[in-house]
Amino acid sequence: MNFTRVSNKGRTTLWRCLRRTDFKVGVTIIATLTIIAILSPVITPYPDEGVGLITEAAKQRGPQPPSLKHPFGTDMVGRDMLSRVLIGSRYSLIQTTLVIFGSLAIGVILGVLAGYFRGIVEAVVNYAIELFLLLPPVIVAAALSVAIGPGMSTVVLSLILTWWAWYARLAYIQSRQIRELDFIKVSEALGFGRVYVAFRHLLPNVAPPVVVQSMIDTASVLLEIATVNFLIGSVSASLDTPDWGMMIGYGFRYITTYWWMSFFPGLFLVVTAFGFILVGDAISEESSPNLRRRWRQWF
Amino acid sequence: MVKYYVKRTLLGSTLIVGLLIITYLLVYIAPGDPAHVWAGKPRGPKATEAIELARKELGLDQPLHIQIVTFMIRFLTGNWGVSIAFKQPIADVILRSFKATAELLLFSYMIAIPLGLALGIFMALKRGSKVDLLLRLTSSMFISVPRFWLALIVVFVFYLIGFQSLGRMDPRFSIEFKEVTGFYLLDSLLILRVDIFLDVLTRLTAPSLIIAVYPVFSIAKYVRYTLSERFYEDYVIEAVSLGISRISILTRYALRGVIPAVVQLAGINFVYSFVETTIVELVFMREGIGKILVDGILRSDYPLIVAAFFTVSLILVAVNTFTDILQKRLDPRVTI
Repeated sequence: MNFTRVSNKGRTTLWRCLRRTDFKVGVTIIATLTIIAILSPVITPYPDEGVGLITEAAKQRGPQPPSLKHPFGTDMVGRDMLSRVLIGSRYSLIQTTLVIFGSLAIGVILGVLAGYFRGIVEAVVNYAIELFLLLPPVIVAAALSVAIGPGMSTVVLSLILTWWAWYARLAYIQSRQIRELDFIKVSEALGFGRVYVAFRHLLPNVAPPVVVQSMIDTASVLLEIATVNFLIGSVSASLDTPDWGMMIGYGFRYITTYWWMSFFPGLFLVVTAFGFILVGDAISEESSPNLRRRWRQWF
Repeated sequence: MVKYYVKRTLLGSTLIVGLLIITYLLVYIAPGDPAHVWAGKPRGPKATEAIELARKELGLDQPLHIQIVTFMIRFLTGNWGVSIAFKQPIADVILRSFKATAELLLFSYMIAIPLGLALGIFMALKRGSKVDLLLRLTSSMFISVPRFWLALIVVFVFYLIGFQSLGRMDPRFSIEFKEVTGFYLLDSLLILRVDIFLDVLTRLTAPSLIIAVYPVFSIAKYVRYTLSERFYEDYVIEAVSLGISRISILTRYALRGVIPAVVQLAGINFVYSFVETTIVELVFMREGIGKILVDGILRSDYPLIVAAFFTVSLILVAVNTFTDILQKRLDPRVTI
């Protein structure tokens, strides 16, 4: 490592987290889900129906309530819901990852640029942050799905458009503090280019707290994605993509007769979100000394 | 103080200009002919006519800066054209649906803010105890349940026990009902009908409680942490040593510092809740912004969605400006 590290508390935070029960439970849930997502084509009973194919057997089956053969029932065209829900874990995890990494990349880079180069860059980026924080993701998604058609890319795009601003604001605040430190001044005095200093010395120190924040609000991203998918699912005439949010949205019209079509995807969504929230809460409490405090009750 | 208000309001109005530009860009990101999308992707004999009309409406034959200015003037004067899906002026459709959504959202926040505050104070007083731990786990659990799914389950359970909860009002009242303000709760009182009022209230309660879940627990969590910290501040310690009672230390001193931040948090949550409301009201089959979005997508009514986008963002600018000004009034240390 030939850049200066301002703080090194990331590792101790991780160690402290590992001693907490809620963190362990959360990590177990997420790990189990990831394994299910990776192995889903192998472990599901009907992988073809899971990804959206309407097979001959499914056509004859029709919608069926949960039974021993189909624990989660079958959907409108007879596809096995268990397979669809299990394969759906892939879609949820991939979308969440894409949104978080996309927003992190845009947010951190713009935040660092705004924090390091003052003047016009700072003003423009801050204005953009204020503006994009206002955009309601569901309505952006609705507009995009009319303009470029509904689908996974629409969902991811609309979420990134509305999410990056949070990280940009955080990165901006961080880099404004760090740019005043001596090692930045020294690098500038040594004659390194300003862009080089910003990305080589500032960015590695700004990124960790923003990444930690992104781990804390993974659950919100997951739920927001599901909400947008719900809207798209509820306007789809037929549904092939086994996304949880879309399946709930599609099934919502038939809730009184075929309740299992939206119940089971929702159940998986709840458990996944709970896992991410447990991990996020543990990290947020352990990474900030104020929240870590053990209260002595005297008042 | 006044300078801050002026500055904040100015920032708000520049944001509106920015929103108009984004709205305008939304028209242009569509691949292919923007006029085709703006006209609602028409098919059939009258299609070319409709597309030509849309082209004229957008001013696509003029230079770009004139297009933007025309677009802005059109939006700011409320001349939004006629909806393809509803066959009514877009401004009327939006206003009507917006009132329905606002009624639900405001009612929900009237429940959520006091409840969240009370829960947070309770948790702060019991901090570190078993009750506190239990409440914190409960709140994590509630936050991880997607609200639209919760709404779906509630609708299903109500259906099973035969409880009428869908829509804004029992359809049998619709003949006698007269709209005055567009807020049904208020209207039913204005026409002096207690039975309609109770019906509207029961239908409003379930969705607003579901929407309240997120703000209640996020406010409670925040109040718990900040209030707990306040209890160790010097001024609180001194107040205790002077023998001032617990209740008045809490309400007079400790809470004073927490309220402004709660106001701002409620403002931020409001943005998030708005999105949730559109979906929850969809599940409860109420009219509102959610229904506009669904109908808009189904009928490719692009002008309607763009107008909804603009209106909602405008409201959020207003809410943010308002909460910032309110926060400044409550806590003069705040700067932009």
